[in-house]
Amino acid sequence: MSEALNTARQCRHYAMCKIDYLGGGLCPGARDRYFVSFYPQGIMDIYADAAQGRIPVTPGMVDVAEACTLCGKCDLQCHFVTELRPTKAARGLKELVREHLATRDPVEAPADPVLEELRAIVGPGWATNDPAHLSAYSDDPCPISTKTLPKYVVLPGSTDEVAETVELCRRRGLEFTVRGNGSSVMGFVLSSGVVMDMARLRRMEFDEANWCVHVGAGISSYELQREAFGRGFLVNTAEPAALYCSNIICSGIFSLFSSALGTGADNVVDAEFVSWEGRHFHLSDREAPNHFAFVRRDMRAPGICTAATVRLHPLTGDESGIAVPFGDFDEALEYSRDLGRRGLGLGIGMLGVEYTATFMAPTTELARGMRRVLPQKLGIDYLVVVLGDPASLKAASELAPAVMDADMMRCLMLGMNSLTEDGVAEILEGLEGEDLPCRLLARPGMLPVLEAVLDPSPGNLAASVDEDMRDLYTDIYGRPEMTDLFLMNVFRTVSSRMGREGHVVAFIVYVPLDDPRAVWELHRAFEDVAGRFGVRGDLGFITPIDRGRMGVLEWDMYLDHTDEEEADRMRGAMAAAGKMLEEFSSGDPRFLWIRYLFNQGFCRKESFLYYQAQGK
Amino acid sequence: MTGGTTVIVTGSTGFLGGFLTAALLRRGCRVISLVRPRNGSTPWQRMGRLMDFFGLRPGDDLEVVEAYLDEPGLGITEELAGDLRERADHIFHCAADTSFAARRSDEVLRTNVQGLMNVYGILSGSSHFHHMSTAYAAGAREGTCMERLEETGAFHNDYERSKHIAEVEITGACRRDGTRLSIYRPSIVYGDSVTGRSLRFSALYYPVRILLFLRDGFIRDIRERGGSRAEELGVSMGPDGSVTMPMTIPHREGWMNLIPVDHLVRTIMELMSSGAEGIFHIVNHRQNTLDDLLDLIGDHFGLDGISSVTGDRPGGPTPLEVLLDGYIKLYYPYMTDRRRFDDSGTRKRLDGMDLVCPQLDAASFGRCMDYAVEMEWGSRLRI
Repeated sequence: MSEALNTARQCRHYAMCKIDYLGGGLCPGARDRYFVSFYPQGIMDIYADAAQGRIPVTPGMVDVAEACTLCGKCDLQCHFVTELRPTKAARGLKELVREHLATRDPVEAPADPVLEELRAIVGPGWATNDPAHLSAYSDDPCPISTKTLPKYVVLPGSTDEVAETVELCRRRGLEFTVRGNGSSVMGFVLSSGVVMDMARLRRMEFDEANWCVHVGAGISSYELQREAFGRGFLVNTAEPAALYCSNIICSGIFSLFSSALGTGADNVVDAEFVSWEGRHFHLSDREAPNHFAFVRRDMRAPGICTAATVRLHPLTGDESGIAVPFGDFDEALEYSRDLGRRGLGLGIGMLGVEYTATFMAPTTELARGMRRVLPQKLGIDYLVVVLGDPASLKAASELAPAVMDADMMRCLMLGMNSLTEDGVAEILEGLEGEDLPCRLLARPGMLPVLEAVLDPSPGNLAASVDEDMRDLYTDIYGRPEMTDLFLMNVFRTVSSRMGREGHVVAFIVYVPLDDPRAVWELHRAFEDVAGRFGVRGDLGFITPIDRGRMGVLEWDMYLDHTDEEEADRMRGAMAAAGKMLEEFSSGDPRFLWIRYLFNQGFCRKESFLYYQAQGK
Repeated sequence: MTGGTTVIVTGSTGFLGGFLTAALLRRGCRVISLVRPRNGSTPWQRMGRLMDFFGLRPGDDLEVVEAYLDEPGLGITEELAGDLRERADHIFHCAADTSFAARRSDEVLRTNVQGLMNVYGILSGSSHFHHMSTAYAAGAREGTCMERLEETGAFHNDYERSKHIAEVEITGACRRDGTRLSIYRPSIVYGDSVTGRSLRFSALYYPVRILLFLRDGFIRDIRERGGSRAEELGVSMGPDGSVTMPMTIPHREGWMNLIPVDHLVRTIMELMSSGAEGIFHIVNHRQNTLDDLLDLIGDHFGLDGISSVTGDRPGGPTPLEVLLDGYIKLYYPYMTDRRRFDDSGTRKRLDGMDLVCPQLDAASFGRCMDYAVEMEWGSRLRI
């Protein structure tokens, strides 16, 4: 397999190439074109299909190939989270198209009356049945889904156009699905009929006087957060590339900030929908369907969310973060819960080693080194990250057995190259005191010692990446948002690295934090499933919510989705984990698998966290 | 010990077990080493590297058996176990976990007690059982420790505790079965006093290693980055390249009992040859003090400013001292020890032999530490 094809097949579909999270600008070929096909993610999918003979060279493919300038911006963006370089696939696509056009014309898609009707609704440029564009909407890396080519891709430009498209689909008996940013980590966004991409619904209007913002369905979490932050506000967002409205409806937004800002309907002032019948409604309408309620069964989405009005939370401007290291699950959980109970901090998260190492490290090799160093040399099995203003961090520090403050975390991140060297790692291993080595290193006054030893700097960290990328990485790691715990969580620029070594299957469960043993048992049950199927997995994070009464837990399993054998094992693991979770929650209803919240993201958290109290 | 004697050795790839295995082979013994695979290397590869280290080319006189001492059956077949029992004249159990860290106490107890009893349970027959213990199995005390099992409940760490429990258990089992038993209790063992060579660089090497590690970090800071971090901590470098690191180490006016591995092995070989049974202290009557060690380090490596302090440090520990404490605090009881070890039984057994334990001096210290640095504290010596 050629390097270009291998690269193309590795695309994780996280859409990080669609947001300007590194500040270097977006793919110029995709500007104002909106179809995912023009972004590196689409180019990779199209090239993979074309190179394997699944689709012919079409006018759409020629457009895509010609639009790409090979500027290389996507290489840095993609490399930063996955170490892939999409220009390899883009070059492959250009070459493939050039060779085809040298002897033949592109293959036109057949004329289609339905397409004409769709174009009549959204405009001629915003609906297509060109196989190249369809290819860019046909994949979903979820291991239990099957690649499905839609008949049409439609990009409505307004709520009315969404409603008319729905009406047309109903009239024509066409199935359809609605996509946020091209795909989703959860999956389930494939259709053999129409795929509606919300990318053109770009409204973003701030109402600072009322501490809220109106967000169109085509606005990503990153764009929203970046704009809000610039105005001195915070929005409770999750994955940066996810389109914000679709992220709400999918599962409700949970992040480390959910400890203070809640989840579900907590941050929603209002939302605009098109029902499955093509009717407009707002959540705030008195006659609107009640989407605040929760039903514990698989549910269809309440309709298509085309816009939402969500809360802005004012910042004090002096927020920062600390990390509290633990070697024991119960202790870490109890500390997290205690902070939640006391209402301390703007954000709280208990992270496992996999998350911590993967997020911190710019390369797979360094991440693997950190996965070894954190638990084995530093004694860190769990890291509780606390975000907030200086007063709340001071209070959280006083309750902690040891604190790695912002400067120390920056030192560890930028000194990671030295930290993972054999010599330093062995020295750390020699710290055989009664306490964890990390706690000793976190003592006051220790920073200059660590700095002398680790020599932390953006340049030293950048030495771990390919030579041609070093200057760019040096520049990036010189920015505070790459090493400041608070900013890292505000913009989540590194969280997509969880998919660097393959795709991720995330299991999300609401858990009772007042029963750490029960939560530990669930953690062990996940470990057991992963172990039985030979799948790599680890606790992602636990964030306390509802004043520490409950928590949201993510447990992740990882796979190379291009390896069929591995995908098979993952399918087995997913089925076993699902069965385990059903058994767990039927024996103890305090556990709620997010599967039952899927498509109910607008419901009030009280509706599902106090489900039993409602006598249900 | 005569040529042709068959000795089963555990821990051959470790420090003491490695030197002992080499000595047995040099004496013409047939050695059967029980070894586990590690870090992707097979037992045979590991033993091959050990033989290279000692410059030995054993033939049939070295047999390697893949075994797992943490398993009750050692991971070997009943048939093989029976064959080993049949052939062994001696079993020498050297395998041990020497970690002092409280967080590793479960592993230490499992390895040092359960591992020993697994070996004994599976392999003991009519052979003479030898157990490598430590002088510090006597526990935390002051005064003279005798060459016998003594009741004690206080220990400086779980390593000491595990070695004490192991002595009690193996003694009980051997008494019950009528097995001949020898327990060797060395004090702190360092490298070969003549060649400086060693297979492990812990114990005596730890404080030296951490001090050099810090020194090198500060030299880089001073030479390459302006030295602001060094200055903040009061570290400076003289024109001759010597580095001053202001640090103190708490002292309680005790001493260090250090023996080189060559003396340990020579003594054990003689005791084995004599057929002696019992408990044997293998210690040094010419002890060093913490101040001796600091002088040796300062003189050999150009490190100034480090001194001992009796009692608590005035004003509490500095960050550098916190780190040093974290690294070697568990060794302080051995660096300022107030135990004395009676070895009259051992000396009586070796009466007439020229077995005087050399004292650690500038020359032997230099040889041992230079070798450690050359081997990058073991990084270049993976067995």
